[in-house]
Amino acid sequence: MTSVGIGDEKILHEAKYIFKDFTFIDVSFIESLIN
Amino acid sequence: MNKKAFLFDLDGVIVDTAKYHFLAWQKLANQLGIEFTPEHNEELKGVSRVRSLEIILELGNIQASQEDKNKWLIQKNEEYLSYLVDMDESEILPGVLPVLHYLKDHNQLIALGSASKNARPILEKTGILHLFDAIVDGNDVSNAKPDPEVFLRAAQLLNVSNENSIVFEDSVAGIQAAKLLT
Repeated sequence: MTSVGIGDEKILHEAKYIFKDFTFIDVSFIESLIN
Repeated sequence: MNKKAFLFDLDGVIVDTAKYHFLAWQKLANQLGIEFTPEHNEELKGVSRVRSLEIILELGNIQASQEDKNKWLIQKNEEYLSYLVDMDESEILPGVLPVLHYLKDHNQLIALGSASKNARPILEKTGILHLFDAIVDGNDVSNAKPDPEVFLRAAQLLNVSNENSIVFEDSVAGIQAAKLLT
């Protein structure tokens, strides 16, 4: 499974991708996951 | 294109009930004479209610009977539930709705994978239950994260391989659970 961490990158450093919150996720990232 | 599954944790990812869990645990901890800070709370994210209480009791070096533990678990949950009564769509965290709607608009499968035993009522109260194709919560699994059971079952319900599943998580235990299925 691909892991996307939502929160503090210092805590979630094991995740493949990390975003502070969902407002930092753009359409191109979601598209890349879909495709 | 292979079918994809998008698996979401609930507390701290879709809605901020994590703050209500923290407040309820903090109230119980303080009652027991234990200091419980936001930093301590990080250790509780994604783990079961029972294990959370054990962690708090370990913080205070408290040995307790099963009877007392059961009483405190009920007390904590009642405190937590009292915060949920007035939940509505405004409790959904910023940026979550656009992502969920984008996925639905593009015919992607969405599931909830949460340790919460109150997941369905929370999704109902916030008006997004209909966006989920499958829900696996604390009532459906016996092993808490970092055990990957909750995500494994969600992917199975959606009939999508682990390889094609994407997990959104705010907890270390949840990230570790997803990685175990890599």
